[in-house]
Amino acid sequence: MFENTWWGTMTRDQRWPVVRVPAQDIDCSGPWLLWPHKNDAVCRSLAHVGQLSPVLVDASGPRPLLVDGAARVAWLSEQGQDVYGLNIGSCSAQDKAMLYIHANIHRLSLDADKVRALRFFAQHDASHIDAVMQVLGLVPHSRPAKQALAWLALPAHWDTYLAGGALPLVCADILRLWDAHDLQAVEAIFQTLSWSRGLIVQVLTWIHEVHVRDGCDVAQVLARADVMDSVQANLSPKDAMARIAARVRALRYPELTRLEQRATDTARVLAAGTRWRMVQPDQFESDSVELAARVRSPAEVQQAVAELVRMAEHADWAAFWPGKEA
Amino acid sequence: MLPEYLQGIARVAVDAAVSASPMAHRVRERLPQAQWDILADGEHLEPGYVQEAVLYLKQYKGRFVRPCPGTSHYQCCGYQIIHIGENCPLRCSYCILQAYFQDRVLKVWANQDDLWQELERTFTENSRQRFRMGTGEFTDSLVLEPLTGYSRDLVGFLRAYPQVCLELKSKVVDLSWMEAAHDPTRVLPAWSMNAPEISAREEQGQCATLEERLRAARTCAQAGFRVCLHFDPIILFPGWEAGYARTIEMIFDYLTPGDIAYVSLGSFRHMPDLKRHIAQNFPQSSYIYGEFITGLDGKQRLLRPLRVQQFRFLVQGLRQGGLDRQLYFCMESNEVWQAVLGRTPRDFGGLYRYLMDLAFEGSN
Ligand code: SF4
Repeated sequence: MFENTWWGTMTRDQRWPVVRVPAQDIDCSGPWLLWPHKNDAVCRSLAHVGQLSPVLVDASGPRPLLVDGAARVAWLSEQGQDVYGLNIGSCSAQDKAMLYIHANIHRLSLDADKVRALRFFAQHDASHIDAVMQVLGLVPHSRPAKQALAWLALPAHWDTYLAGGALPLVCADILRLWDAHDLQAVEAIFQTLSWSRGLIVQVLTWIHEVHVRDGCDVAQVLARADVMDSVQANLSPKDAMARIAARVRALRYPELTRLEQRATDTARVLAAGTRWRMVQPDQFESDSVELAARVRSPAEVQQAVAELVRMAEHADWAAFWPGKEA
Repeated sequence: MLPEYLQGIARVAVDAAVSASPMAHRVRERLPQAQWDILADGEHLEPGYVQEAVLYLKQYKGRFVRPCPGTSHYQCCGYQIIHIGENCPLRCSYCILQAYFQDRVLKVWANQDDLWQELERTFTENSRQRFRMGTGEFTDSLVLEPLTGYSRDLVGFLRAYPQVCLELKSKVVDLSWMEAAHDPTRVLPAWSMNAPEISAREEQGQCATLEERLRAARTCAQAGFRVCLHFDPIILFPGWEAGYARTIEMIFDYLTPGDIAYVSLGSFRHMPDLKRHIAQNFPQSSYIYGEFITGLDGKQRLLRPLRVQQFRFLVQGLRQGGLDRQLYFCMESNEVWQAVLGRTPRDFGGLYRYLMDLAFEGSN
């Protein structure tokens, strides 16, 4: 049917015949219909002015196969109407998928959509992957392209986490390094909790780094951080995520966490009952301690100074200068 | 006979402008089997070459002499780099060059006449100034020596400039430059030191063993040279104390404190990007998952109390062997200097001056 594919000159001069078929007769189950999102705007438009552009069908068989135009066909089918389509004739599932991608390229924005398309080709004929990536706007060997390919190594049901926003594509950098057992162990932490993109990447990175550093599997890392306790505890999702992140970080950075804890405790003691806040600003890289106070009048300035004088006499300041310990 | 790590060079690309240079002749003689391609003016080496397979003799148009790229907030040693080429055929997992250069082609600046002119200009314009210089910043100083004889040329050239002390920093053993040195006080051969475990695991690609390096250092010392040792990068790993103690012991098996001009100590630190390269190229190298924080210069550094712990341990061992004055930190803060050595560079007039004095100490 097509000449000079994959996927060069193909359809440039095609003049496909127009067909008119009852919408209900069209088979819309082809796996090449990669991104069949319901589209209210299309429905409204069809209701208002009718079908303006033809769908694509392969009408070579007993029942026309839809190649592009799922939203239009669904709505027209509900209304019991006919559909105008271009009959592209008989061609392979991959050709149909490629036509589908080209026909929908204008609304391609989500990583999940790209991954879905790549997974289709990986399952049908992986030799076309590079060509497909180009069409999807993924420059071969670029970071997003590598991440998309890495994602394909994950079980297919993980695509729903990507599509649902539970995990961003960048996580593939880490997840591709884990075996099935590790992947299974970690699923619980984003099945029930919806993390911000930055935090889930951070938490997975810490888990991975502890896993490699300590030579233990991911399930063990999660157990050491009591992650399942946090997932199952009666906490708000926000508190559960904060607790998981803090515990995993403490495993990843035990000494830093200990110093921070000591500094926080010391600051609490030193500044108790005052308006001063104290922090170690450089992760203990310098000897600096930052003190801040909010004042709203000259009288408050005087009070703050008096508080500071009292604080200066305290013996606990040494906790801020761990490098100077004996 | 070339070392094995140079035998894989199957192709030499050479800029037309330097194709008749002494360097090109020498390399051609020593690599007779290699395919020889001359690149016309403006022509570039095609990307994608495997680093070991190609050597590029280049007409370098940039500055050959430049200051060591120290960063703010930390004490820099003020060393000057003589830029003779880029990349290295050895494979140290922690090598910064992985992140510095996108391509890993071995490059040698073959327009040596331009280098000599720039050096001559620098020294005559600053005839009263002393210089502590070295070549081991963008490549290992001696790794290509069997092919290029670059260090030997440099040592020979610098004979006319007694205000220069040249440090040759390496992880291999090649002492062919020694014959070119008339005054052993003006050349400081230097070797990297590490714990035996790190040397074995993380310094891949036929680096000399620690014993070989120290044996070479002893040969130099016996010939009147003073040597430098660089504990850099010091790496935390389970059992690090025993490992570094063993190396310190080995140092004093081969050298006396008087043989050593100075010893630098630097804890593993890196530009954020390097971690990604190491994780990718050396997935077994788990030390990158230590407790690194972002230092005041934006580089990743081990948490300060852990660095102090490392340094105290090494300094104690080195002091027991009789080294003290010669110890310094590479890119460390005053806080760390004070906590470990009980002094800061300000106490002795700045690190730059101090190391300059140590470097020239052996002079007559
Ligand atoms: S010897 Fe030096 S330049 Fe060569 S790979 Fe090792 S660290 Fe890098």
